[in-house]
Amino acid sequence: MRKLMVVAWMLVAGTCLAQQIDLKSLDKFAALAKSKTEITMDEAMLKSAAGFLSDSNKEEAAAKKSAKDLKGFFLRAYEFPQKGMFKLEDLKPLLDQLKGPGWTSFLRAQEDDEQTEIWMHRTNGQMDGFLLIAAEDQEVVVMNALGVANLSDLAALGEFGKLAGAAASTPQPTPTAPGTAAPKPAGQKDDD
Amino acid sequence: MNQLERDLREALRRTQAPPHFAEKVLARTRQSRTPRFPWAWLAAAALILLMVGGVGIVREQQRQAEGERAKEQLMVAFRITGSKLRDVQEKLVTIPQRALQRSEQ
Repeated sequence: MRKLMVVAWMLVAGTCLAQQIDLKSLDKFAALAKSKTEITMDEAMLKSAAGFLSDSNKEEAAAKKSAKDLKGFFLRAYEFPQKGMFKLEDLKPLLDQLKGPGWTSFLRAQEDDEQTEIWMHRTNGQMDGFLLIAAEDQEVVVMNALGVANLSDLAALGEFGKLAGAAASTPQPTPTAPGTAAPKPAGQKDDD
Repeated sequence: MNQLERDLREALRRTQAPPHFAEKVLARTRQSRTPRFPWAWLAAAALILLMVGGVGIVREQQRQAEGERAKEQLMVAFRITGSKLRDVQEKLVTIPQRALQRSEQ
């Protein structure tokens, strides 16, 4: 009986963590990057953050809506000073993890030196995880979200990008998360 | 017997205690046991309240600061993700269809 309980617990634990991708393989790029943003937020942090988001501010209200069902959010964004410091093959350790059960490729677009992938994780047919990889020759962004329940949540994030783009066009300081390097405003490069 | 001995004998001569001496001593002892200044307890209680309140205020300030930091992180994360998702949407419109590969997984 005890063994059965242990096995059941391990199965539950395995299911809970299955949608979380180990991003450690990207750590080596932190030292090479000229600009980096590393964000790791567990459910408690997300809840804490959501409590401080205002409903009256359009941007924050959109973020609050997007964060509502999130159980975890992990982001790594690196921008390199020159070409060749990052290769698309470097993504292999990440992509190998997606061979596990539950992961489905939603979009895969590859051009010369650009690769964009969107993967979704489902448990019992219910979407509960999301992975975005956007890699170029001098930039890589990997985002893993846990608890994304449906595509409208993703659309809300896209809408957030639109808001951020509008905000970036006005002379407004971009908030920088403590402990992170200054991130680029939406869709802009540092040398723009 | 010299003068010194006489002085000592006089000084150490047994004398009768004044009347009610024992009762007076005991009464004094009881008086010294009762708190002279009851406000000391109130002051101690106020000090404890201040300390507890102070710790509470500091903890609330820490919670606020952590929440604000988490909020900033979340906003940065969403901005980057949102902009990337927009890029993907734009690519879907602009890149040639042959570059799109739907996975069968």
